[in-house]
Amino acid sequence: MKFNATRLGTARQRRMLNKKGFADLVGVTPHTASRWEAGATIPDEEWVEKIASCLGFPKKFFFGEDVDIPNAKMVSFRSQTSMTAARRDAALSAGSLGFLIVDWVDERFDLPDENVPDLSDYSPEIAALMLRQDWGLGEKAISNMVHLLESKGVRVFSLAENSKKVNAFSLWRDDTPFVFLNTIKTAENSRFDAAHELGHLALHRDGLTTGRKAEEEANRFASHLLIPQSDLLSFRKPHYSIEWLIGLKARWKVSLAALCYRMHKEEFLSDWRYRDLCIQIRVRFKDTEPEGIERERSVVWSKVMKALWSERLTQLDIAKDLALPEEEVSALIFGLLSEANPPSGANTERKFSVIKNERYT
Amino acid sequence: MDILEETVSKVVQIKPRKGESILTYYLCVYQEGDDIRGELSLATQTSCGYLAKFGERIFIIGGEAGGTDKILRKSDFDQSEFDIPISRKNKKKK
Repeated sequence: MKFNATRLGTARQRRMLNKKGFADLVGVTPHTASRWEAGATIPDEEWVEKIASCLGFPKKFFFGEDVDIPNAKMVSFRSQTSMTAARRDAALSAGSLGFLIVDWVDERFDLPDENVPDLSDYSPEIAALMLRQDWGLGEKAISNMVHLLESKGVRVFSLAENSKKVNAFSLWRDDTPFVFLNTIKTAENSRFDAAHELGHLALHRDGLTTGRKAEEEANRFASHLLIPQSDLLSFRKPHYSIEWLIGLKARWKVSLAALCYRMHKEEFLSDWRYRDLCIQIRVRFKDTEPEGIERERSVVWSKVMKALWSERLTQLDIAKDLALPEEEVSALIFGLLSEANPPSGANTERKFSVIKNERYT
Repeated sequence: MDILEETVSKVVQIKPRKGESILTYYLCVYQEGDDIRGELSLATQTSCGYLAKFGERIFIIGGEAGGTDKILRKSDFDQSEFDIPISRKNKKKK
């Protein structure tokens, strides 16, 4: 296998380097770096060592097959205005690495089949209603958005970006839907992101609606999916205290801000009252969520990793097989796992586990 | 639990002298049928034939001979109201 130029581009973007920054880091001219990445010339052994070392990727990574690169035009990012091109490209290249991991898992496991309907002909509100009917959800609250997505064949990853500026993104790769979730946000926000990304998958598969309009539609879809209108109507009353709203939001596992926003849209709250509540929320809770819920985790990754652990395989083996940095594999998978490490009892040959009693130390 | 022999009781009362770095840990083993458990203890004092005070205790939890029992935790997310079937295609690592 010869040096793969597309993999160099993926690794460079993953490290948020532009071509000049990469050239400076490695110690070559930007012209040379560009020719490497275009496949016009191939770096010799010594330079490959240097590239691998500078980018923090195993040398073997650069000698694999072409990687699929998500089409930026077909990917909807939230918070696009505050996101730099470098950050967007880094997130997309994380998507490429996610594809490699899914291919590795698909070779070894049968995962749920894709079942996300194309609802691009409908308004977000009607689409949310139709999706609930199609999936047999009725009007009840969705207990776990990540589980729901996974049960319908969506491959869910945690976003490796340690930044709130990249909220989440989703895309179709052939007939497989992918969602990448930011797990450093509150659990309620991640849950809303999951519903928002589902909106993109169901409404914007054709790629015809993009930008702010697509984001606004996905938000409406998410709100109506998580809080069915008929269910919300039964809670209409003359006055809403913030404490009462905190109690009510638990019904749908949404953030207080998302509930107030929706109630304002439905004209449960006057403009004046809504503004007052927004100020109260900002002052009292800042970036935290009152009465927060437990973060939603992945069943697919939990089951896959448990099966691998029982065969003495860990994320290290996945990383080694795919020639990826271990931290990339961990970041994409373990943000959604309840257990970050193999359980001590995973291997039945191990009869003992050691527990240090801190009380006596 | 058996009471410690007198000789052991005397030994564990000996604390390391000033300037010495040698510590003695005791491996205590409990066996009932196939269930074996152990404890590695830095005991510093006995009382009435029992180890009474410790500098450090390391518990070694054993399993049944047929394999360890799976401990389900509250955060075990295998449980879901949605059907998420996952199955292994083959056992051989590719």
